[in-house]
Amino acid sequence: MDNYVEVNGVTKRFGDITAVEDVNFTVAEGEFVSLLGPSGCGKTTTLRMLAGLETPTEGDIRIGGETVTDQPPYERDIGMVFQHYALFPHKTVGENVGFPLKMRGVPSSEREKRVAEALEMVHLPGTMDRSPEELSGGQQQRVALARALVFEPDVLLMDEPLSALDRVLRQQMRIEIERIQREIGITTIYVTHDQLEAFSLSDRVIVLENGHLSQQGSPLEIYEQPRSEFVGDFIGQSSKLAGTIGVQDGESVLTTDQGTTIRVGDQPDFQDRDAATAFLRAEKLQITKESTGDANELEATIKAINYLGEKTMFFCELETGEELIVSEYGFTSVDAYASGDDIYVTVPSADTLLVPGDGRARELSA
Amino acid sequence: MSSEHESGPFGVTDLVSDGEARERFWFGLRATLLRSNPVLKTVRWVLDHDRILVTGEAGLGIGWMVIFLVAPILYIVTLSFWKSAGAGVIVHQFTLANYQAVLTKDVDLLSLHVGNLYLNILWQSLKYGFLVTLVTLVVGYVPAYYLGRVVSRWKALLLLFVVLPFWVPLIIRYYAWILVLGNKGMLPTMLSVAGIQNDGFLYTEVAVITGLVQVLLPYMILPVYNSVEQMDASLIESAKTMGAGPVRTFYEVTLPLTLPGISAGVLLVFILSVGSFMAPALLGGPSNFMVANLIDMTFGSPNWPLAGAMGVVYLVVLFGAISLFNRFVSLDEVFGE
Repeated sequence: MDNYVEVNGVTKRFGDITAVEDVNFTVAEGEFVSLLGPSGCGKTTTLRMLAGLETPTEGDIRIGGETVTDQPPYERDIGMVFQHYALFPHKTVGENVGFPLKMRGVPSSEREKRVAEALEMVHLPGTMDRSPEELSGGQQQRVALARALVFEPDVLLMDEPLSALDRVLRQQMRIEIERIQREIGITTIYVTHDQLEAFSLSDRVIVLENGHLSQQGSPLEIYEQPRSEFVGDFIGQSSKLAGTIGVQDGESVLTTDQGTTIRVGDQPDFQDRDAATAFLRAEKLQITKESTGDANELEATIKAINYLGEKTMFFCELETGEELIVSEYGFTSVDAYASGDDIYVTVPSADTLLVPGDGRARELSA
Repeated sequence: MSSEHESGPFGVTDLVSDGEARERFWFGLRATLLRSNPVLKTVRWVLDHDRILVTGEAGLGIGWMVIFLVAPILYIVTLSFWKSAGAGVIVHQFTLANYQAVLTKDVDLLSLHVGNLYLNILWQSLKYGFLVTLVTLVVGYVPAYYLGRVVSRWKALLLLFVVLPFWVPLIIRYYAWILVLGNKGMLPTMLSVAGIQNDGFLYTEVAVITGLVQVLLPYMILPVYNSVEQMDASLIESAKTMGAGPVRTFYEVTLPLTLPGISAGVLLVFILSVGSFMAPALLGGPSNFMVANLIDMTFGSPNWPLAGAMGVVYLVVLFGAISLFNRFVSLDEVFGE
């Protein structure tokens, strides 16, 4: 079923504030979709409307072909994992996981069996009689996941489930979540502000900006073909050059307002004299001491160097004052460079990402 | 900062208003006093002798308890074992006669003969206390829950309304109830206009309980509000997403998690209502006496040793009631381990 979950023209207002405006998307059965965006972009509100914890002001929501827009959460068949686990402190781990089954009138003998299975699935066997407070943050989140899945709901909703965990644990849990989701094939909608989580887990990413759906697509599409300045800014690390499209020697070029010219490769979506912003991904730029003779080479001065281990970040400035950020992976000759050095930055023209300069979203030709 | 701020000798002095200058003067004076030798020397001496500080701190607390709690109780206990020679004369001689009178004899008071007056009235007090607590719990839980969950800029004001009655003296609040419940009062008049015949509600059990409920309601609302507010709202939401409707969410999640607040409120209201004096005195009739009224009358009769014995028995019974409550709800949980 390609449109197992449907969000049709959904708007949510809180008084004068519009949290979500005219958002449309569908999620296929078994698909893992992330709602990605900065805080206040409406991703959590959208998830809460899917859960039934908020009612849309306009539009409707369908799950499994049934309109659920005005259904309270307890009549929907959804499992939800909350940011801070939301485990009941007065109930044992087993009672927590068994809660949705108890609410559905599952007899206690069967309940116990299914709770044990669910805890097995999240690698927490034998914790049934413990109090949630005795468990670590990561274990609590596993219990929350087991509790959201034990009744085999139609849809699994997760609201920033890893944000309360530390970095190492976050990575472990990310892999766990992926494993479990693939194992049982449940339709999953995952809210996060973390690009890494969204990209590594999702089949499809939906980027939200200020209550609007900004762009959706596979992680590759989102990263390699940002349609708007917002997506270009929010995803990845790039330098941004704003200017006008022109033609030079039969090739498309972008001339910035400061007078820098770079070749931007084949850009069928843009016409001569179109305003455009180019995003230059930091890892796609190269830094050299000597000129390589590349046509798309810019002279720059190093302002700062951040050695981060797996990569080194160079913060450079063009003569025009425009800034370029270059990251080199596995860079071992970092000592050869110092702040104040004059260097050359090569911009592979095929790797410049252009978005319209007037703030509109670009219509993808693909 | 801009250059105009640097004009005076102290930077900004020239721009300071009169009010600020005055404030600065008092601040300076305070600082001078605090830094003066006698103050500093005393503080240093105390700080150098930290054993004195620790003992002093503990001693202050213990001393306070001894002076205001232990000593009066010990006095009353002692009193209750002394002989009364009538007409207020106390003979300092050990006797169990007071307790015998309280527990076994029919007490003659205002020529009433109703079996063992003291035990009957004590029983009635406990009954009233139970009723008041029950009504307060039911009536108070709703606003407490609302206040604990609501997100509103009026919340502080609403909380103020809860404690506002404390600003009106108790006696005035009870007199207000006389105006409402008395036989030409507001409520009976309204009811007779509506065709319901009645003789007013004053000097009845209903009046005593109504008055007490109104007065003691904040003692229930505040602790329950506190525990509702401390409850993580996402717990309720997660219960709902797992299929629990409003009623089941309430008794599976909200009720157990607000139990500490409920217990604190129940305890406070029960103790205060059982021992209430003014409500039965002003709103109740002769048959609505409570134990505090009886003790007061005995003191005034004047038979201090007998009144002392009544007080001690009351204390023991109340303590027993609280212990019983403690068996069902651990008070350690309520007031922290």
